[in-house]
Amino acid sequence: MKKNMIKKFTLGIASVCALGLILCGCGKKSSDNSVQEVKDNKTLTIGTSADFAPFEFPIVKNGKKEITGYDIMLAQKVADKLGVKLKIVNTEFPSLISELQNDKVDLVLSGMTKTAKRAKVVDFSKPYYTVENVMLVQKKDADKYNKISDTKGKQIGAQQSTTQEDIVKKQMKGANLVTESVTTSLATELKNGKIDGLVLENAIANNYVKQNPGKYAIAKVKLTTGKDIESYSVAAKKGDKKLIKVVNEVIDKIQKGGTSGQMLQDAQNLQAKYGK
Amino acid sequence: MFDFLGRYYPAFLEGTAQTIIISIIASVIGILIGLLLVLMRISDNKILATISRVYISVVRGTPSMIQVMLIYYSLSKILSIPPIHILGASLDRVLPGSIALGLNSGAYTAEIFRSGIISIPKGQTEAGLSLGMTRHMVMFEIVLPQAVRNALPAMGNEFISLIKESSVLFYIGVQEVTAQALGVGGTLYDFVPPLIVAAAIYFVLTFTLSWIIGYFEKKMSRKYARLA
Repeated sequence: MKKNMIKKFTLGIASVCALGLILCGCGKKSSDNSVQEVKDNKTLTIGTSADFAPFEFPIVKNGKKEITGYDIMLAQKVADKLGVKLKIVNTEFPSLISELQNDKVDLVLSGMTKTAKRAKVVDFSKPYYTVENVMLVQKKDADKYNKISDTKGKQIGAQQSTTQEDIVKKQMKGANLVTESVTTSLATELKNGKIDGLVLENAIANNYVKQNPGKYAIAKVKLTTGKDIESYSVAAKKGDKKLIKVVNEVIDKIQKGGTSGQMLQDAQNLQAKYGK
Repeated sequence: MFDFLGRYYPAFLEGTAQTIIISIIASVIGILIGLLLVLMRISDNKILATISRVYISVVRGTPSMIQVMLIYYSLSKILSIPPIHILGASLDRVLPGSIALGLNSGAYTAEIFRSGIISIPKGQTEAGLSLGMTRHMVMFEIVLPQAVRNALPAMGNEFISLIKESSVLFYIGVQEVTAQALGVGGTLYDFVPPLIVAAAIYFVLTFTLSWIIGYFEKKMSRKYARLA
């Protein structure tokens, strides 16, 4: 009986490993035909996690659901430049990098910051948006958190696998980190007092305060956003340099013409209009 | 509180359609796999029996969310499914996702079938064999029909948990009910009302299903009551 158990256990482990082997047998692409591939498919497929208003969020317009936001507008500009249609894949943020690696999407635009770890497995465009991180708190706690040490022993939230999570881990040593895969559920917890603070990107934190003025405030505590993680970039498969080049050209264009600020404004207006 | 429904009901309808599609495909696959596994498990062939046992323990012993992601990423390497859209669902995600859920459910249905089969007294098999029926005939004409009836309540439970479990498919980008609720919550910056709507949708689905299963249970036991 015992021998049988051991046998079953080994077989079980073996089959899990076998599945792993299938997964790891990824082929290496030899030459970069990323742009040609997109043109051949006549579609640019992007991955995003649409729970990050005003950068990406779903709205229902004329009875049809669509995903919109700053990142989507940027993606549309890239698709226009290539002369192809835009297709959006909406999935959980932690799944996005593997979507890229498994060739399910061409680009990821999801308010993703370029980090050394991510840059090992995917390629990034130049930054298109500069990030500052702040801590969102309940309105009544607006004056409670003035320095990092005030967060000691508190429950501080951050979205899973994000740079905000790193900030809590590295800078707020005494705080208890709470992670979830979706920002909005953390914001709900904050509103209900389940967590004491939520580390967010500045534009998003401002939007929360704007939408619920009586509920949230931004704490005075200063968070350092590391040099390498202070901006959002577009991610592409490792080696897709040509596609990255096209994206960079689009980013240059919107930043020079002042279109970038207008896009963010448009996205915020859309959310205000449809988020009621 | 639920004003947003006026605008966002199409998103929830789309999500409901996807949840239903996934659940149907997954339960059909689950039943077939479960039947296959249980026949392997009770067969005299040692190798087949062992494969079935290992499969059941591995699948039951690992989280379905991880299984779904592993199967999706390995299936998408092996076969390429065209990204055709049906009712707002992209087939290249919905199919691997439902297959993964079905493979998972199969392990549970196999055990449910087995408990149904064990519940049939051995004497019936022996009687059938001594009447000159083949093993195959005994299994499919005497044991299984009764086993299915005995297993039906437990099977209903399995289908209900399958419907609820289908929410893990958001990890591979399937826009089922939970995904829609989270998305709408993200736009509203408020989570609780959309989640309540999602919960209500799940409840209506599972309640309808348990009503249907109850109907079949009654119908089947009537038939056997007359025979007894």
